[in-house]
Amino acid sequence: MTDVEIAGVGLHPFGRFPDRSAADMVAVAVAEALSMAGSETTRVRAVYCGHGLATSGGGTAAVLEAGVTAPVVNVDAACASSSVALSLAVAAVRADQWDEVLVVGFEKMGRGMLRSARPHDPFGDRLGIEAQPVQYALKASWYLDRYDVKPADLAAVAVKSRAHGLLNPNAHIQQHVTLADVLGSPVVADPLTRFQCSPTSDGAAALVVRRARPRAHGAQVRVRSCRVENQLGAQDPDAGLGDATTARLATAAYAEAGIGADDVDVAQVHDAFTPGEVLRTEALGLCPEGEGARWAAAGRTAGTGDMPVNTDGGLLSRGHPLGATGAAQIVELVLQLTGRAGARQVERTPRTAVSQNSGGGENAATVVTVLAR
Amino acid sequence: MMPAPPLDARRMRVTDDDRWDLLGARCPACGHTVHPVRVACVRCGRATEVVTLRPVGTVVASTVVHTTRPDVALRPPFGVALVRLVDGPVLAAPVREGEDPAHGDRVALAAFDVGEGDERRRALQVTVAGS
Ligand SMILES: [Zn+2]
Repeated sequence: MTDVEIAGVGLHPFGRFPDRSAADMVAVAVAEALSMAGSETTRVRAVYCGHGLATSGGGTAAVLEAGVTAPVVNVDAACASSSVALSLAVAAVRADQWDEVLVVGFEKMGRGMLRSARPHDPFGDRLGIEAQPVQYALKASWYLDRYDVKPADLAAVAVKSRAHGLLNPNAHIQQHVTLADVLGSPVVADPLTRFQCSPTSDGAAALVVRRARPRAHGAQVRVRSCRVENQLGAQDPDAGLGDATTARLATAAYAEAGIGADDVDVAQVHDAFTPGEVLRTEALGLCPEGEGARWAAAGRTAGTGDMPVNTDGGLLSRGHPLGATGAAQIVELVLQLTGRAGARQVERTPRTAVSQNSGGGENAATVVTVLAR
Repeated sequence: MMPAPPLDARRMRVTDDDRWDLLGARCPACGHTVHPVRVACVRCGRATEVVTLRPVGTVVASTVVHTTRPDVALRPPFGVALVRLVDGPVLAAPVREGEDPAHGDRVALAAFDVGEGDERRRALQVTVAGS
């Protein structure tokens, strides 16, 4: 099977850019990614473009603005769109369908709480139950009770996230907060406060994915595994409150990559809300079950800790433009693996990295990707 | 007055005499039971049959919602509980005003109406009473 590399990554800063179109942002991310790869638009054979809110074909138009005329596959898998796009790109290059392709993710989002992840569920939608903060609050309440964890330990995830965001000029939220600030911000759904919820953001990210070239230009980060499952198939006796899907994917991805959880040096996980980071860090086997929040409080998942997680601020502070999120996670890991992460570079340039991205809703995709240099 | 029609006909059936049934779908091949009703089984793909579920269960998790989108029918703060039904499926529903069921509590589902006039719809809520 053909070895696949990520040769270049690019990102348009995340935040609110009312004067910029999706196409403007995609053009910036694509140019940056191609530049790092030492490549150019004419070498791109196909584009896999993730977006969750754009109209049909939205990616096709945006990619053209970046000067790319290769065929575009539009992928909508809610918050996991560009990770599913990556999985398709990796599969196509591995199968020698294409030599070099682009993965693009973007989103233009309004302000305010997202609508239901289950638009065809009038019960959840009309009563507000399917709103993501409510679903994550239920996870948080279950978690705090089951593992006897203090709300302050969960809130520590947001303090760490904001500190990481301050080291990332591309992060949406640039703000120092204390534990008291997080706990004192308005309650959205108990025990989650405002600062424990990701913002709605605009942004774009791009990855050059190609057949691995020995001694070539570019980042030369290998994709060791990129696996997708939906969430319904793995529903567990705890009503899916933990993340059984991620745990199963991680087992399979580590086996494919020939590594164990102990080999992971840095991780990006789907922290749309603080319990998301905790549950998924545990599901990836990066810390013991029930210890994720306490590890955050103890600084172990900080960039300076022994298991750095979401070093760019994650969804909570970097921002969460749905379709761009998965690709942005990969951008950060590639920067970390190649020593390009600047002020937030973790010590001893890491060798192995894992990303985890969850789509919203009960039948959406979860993706786990293992990268290595 | 006629009972309000259900907010979601895949979740409950309301009859003329103002009684209601909690609905689910059961797979005749593998026995997997889900709520709300789905046409095909998510385990084995066979066509399901609609069944009535017992409206009682145990609280798995709960929260109190303080912030919602403006178009949500309930005014915060209101409770939401995740309930594992005795028949297997898990569902989230609002908690009856003034009640605060804890994890592990045995609870029942009750019908309640949201909306006004022609927009009035019957929905489900969690209650500790009558459980
Ligand atoms: Zn079945």
